[in-house]
Amino acid sequence: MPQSIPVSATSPSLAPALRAWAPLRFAAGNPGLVLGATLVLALLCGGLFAPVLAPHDPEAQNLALRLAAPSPDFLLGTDSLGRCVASRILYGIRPTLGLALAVSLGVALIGLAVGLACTVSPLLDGLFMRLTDGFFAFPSLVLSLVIIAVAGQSLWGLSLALILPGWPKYARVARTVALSAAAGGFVEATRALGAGRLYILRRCLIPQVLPHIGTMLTVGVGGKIVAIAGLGVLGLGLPPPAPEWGGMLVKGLPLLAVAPHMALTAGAAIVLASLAFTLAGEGLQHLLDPITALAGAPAP
Amino acid sequence: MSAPYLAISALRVHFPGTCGLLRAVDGVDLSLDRGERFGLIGESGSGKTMVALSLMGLLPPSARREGSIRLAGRELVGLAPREMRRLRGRELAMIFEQPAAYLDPLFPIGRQIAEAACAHEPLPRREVRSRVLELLARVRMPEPKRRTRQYPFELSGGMQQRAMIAMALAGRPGLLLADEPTTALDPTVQAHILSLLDDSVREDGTTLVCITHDLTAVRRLCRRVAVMYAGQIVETGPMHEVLGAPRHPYTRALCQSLSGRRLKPIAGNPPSLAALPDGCRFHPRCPHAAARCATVEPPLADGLRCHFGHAA
Amino acid sequence: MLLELDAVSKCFVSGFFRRHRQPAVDNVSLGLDRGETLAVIGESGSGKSTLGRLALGLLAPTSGRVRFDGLDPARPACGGKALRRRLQVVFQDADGSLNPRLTARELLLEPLVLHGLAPRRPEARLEELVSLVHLTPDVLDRRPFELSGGQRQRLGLARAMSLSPELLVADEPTASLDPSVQARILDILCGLKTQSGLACLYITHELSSVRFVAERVAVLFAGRVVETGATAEVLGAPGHPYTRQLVAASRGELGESLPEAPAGCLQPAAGCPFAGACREAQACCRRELPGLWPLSSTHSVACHAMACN
Repeated sequence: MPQSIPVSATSPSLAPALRAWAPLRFAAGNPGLVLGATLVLALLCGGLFAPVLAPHDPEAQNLALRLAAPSPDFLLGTDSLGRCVASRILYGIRPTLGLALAVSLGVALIGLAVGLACTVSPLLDGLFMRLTDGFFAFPSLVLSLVIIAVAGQSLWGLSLALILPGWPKYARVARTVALSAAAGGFVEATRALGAGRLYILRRCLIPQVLPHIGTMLTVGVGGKIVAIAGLGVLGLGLPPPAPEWGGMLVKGLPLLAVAPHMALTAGAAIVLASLAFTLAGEGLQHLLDPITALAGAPAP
Repeated sequence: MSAPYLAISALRVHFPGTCGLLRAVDGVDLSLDRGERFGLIGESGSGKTMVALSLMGLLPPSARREGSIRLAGRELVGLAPREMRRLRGRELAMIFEQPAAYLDPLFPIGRQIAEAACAHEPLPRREVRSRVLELLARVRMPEPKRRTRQYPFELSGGMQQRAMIAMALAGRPGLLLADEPTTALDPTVQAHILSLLDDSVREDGTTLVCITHDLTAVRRLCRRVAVMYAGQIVETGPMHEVLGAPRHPYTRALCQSLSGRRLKPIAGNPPSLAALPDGCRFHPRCPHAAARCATVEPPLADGLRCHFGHAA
Repeated sequence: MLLELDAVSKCFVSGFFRRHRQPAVDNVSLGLDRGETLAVIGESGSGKSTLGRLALGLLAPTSGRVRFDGLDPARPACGGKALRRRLQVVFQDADGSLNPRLTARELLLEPLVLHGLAPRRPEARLEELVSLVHLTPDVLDRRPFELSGGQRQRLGLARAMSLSPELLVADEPTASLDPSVQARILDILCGLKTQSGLACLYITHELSSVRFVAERVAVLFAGRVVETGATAEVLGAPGHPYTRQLVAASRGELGESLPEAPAGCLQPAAGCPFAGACREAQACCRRELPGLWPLSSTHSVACHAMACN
């Protein structure tokens, strides 16, 4: 029989003076989350205020200044057509991040819906789970390539190519969490009170599933950023001349010896953006983990 | 008179917490002779399990342990972890409330018992097998040969507890700690496990400390008992005297709560270990409390921690 | 009769071709009057919790009939939500039957909101409910994990009582609680019974609490009722060998040192389910299933040995 010693007893006691610095303490406890969230915020601001922040028009060509090295005027130099790299990186946030967020959200919503549908009847459960098995059988990149080949290289084709291979993972997690919650005592207790199916879905199952899906989503955005850039590198990303990080990276690669700033900045942007979301997601996961959350709760 | 086999003196287990110091065990003294069967009675939060864990050296890392525990002349407080590990299994062993949680689900129980048997003295292969069968026979496991190949989930709760006892007995320990050995079991199975524990302890002359809130188990197993409340021993003595004619108001309430003609629940809630009341720790719930009880903490005298020992 | 179970059986079917049939409750007939308490006693795997769920209509029986005031609780169409309100349950705490994300206040209001009974200013009603189970209003803002086991169980009881039901199914309400807390919960339960004329189906595995709570008992073994009758009669002079064993165990005696009963409800193909563990088993016990045999007007036993004498 476990003794009723609150779990929080294990955390070190802190001087009252430190309690005033709760946000600081929080940051010290979750450095990954704070760093990730700051970077995500910076990215969002950068994308939103690109027209204000960008020093030049991202599509204005200046052939006289081709492949210029970074200078006070062009902070990150220029590309092979003499366009400002810094501006293109900033403007590139919009399509990349926008698409990544939209796709991740779509994937998560489909996964959530399918996962919850699995709790309705065993038949539906079996059907959907065999379907996800089918999707898991193919590597997601191969699936994406096939979809783009069929649907064409457009915004919609690209979205479809990213959504279709992505949702089964979310559906699996949502199903597992929802089913184990549905088998738990409190769902039965709520049913015994006379609650209907929708009420249980809304009040018991979704609140259990949402934190899991939420953290998966945040980590997933990082993966989607890399996937979008990857398709860009293969030449299947957004059509030019729109500034797109994957495309910028692939254009810079052959010129690595002449103008390293092109490939390096694009690569750095991709890594940084995906890192930001991964860090934030993992931090969030840590924070919302039921056991960790319980340990942080005030003692009775 | 020779030194006792187990001597605990002024044992304290404290947990530094955000809302103050949690005093889980606060000054416990006990002494047991070899072969004695002792019952430590208490409800959850009384610190009884913490006493057992501090004997085993298995307290959570944040716990602070003070005082002295001498087992067979050797001081356990401050013993190096390596030395402590050597003692566990051979000198002292423990049985837990939920055998399912303490058996490894991935190995057949025969292998787990063999592991326990070989932990301190490597045995030749053939002997290991016969030792495992012998142990299973001792805990009266039905069909022992078949059971060695079965996994914990294939066994009923009673059989799991039998396997757990077999593991604890494997190292022929001098001291056996049983923490709620029957609480999680069905009533008819409880009776079997109690008689089994009784017999195996008697055969080996093992010293038994039974930690429980189940008075039936204590009556069946123990000769001497101590009752714990809020980290302290409030009453101790021979089992028949303490449970037959309890002197402390808490012991009396505990004995009567479910056994009289009418239900007599104890008023109030047990105190928080972080904010213990001044004076006698039971006084806010005690029907006989006087002014003195709220200010002066009674000492444990003549096996009783109460200001009104003689009167009650 | 408020609750009537008529030859109810429940069989769980699983496996790819629905081949594994696990009978949990087998041909059980019970009745419960208004204001009466019936204790269902059984060990793990005896089907006692399944029986409770059948009575609540959370499970539909494989065969037989469950009637609550003439209505079938498993079919929401007949009676609907109103029926649910009259039929409440308290679960064993270990199941985590309280949603961990809600506060005590939200948990207590939930049933009222569900049935459209929530008053505009719920504070007075909440305080009344909390005091009904001897809690103080300061627990209202805590979440279940911030409460002790006894407080949680009392909260569960208050939640069930908030709808003023006619029947309460208490499924091991005191298991895994300390003895003094058990006494507290049972005391509150008895108080509620006398106050509001509540009928109660009290499901338990240990006997010591039964005589405080129940007027009648039914002993369940392997999904079948092996003995039923008035509490004093059954516990004072048990007829069935299994009941005798239970009574002996509750006194800390080993009784007749019977072999351990089989785990789960592994029913033999024919004969008495207890025959494998029974000292008095005769040839007829392994051949024929004993029916309930009346010992007195209020006491019946399903045992060949008793029927022969």
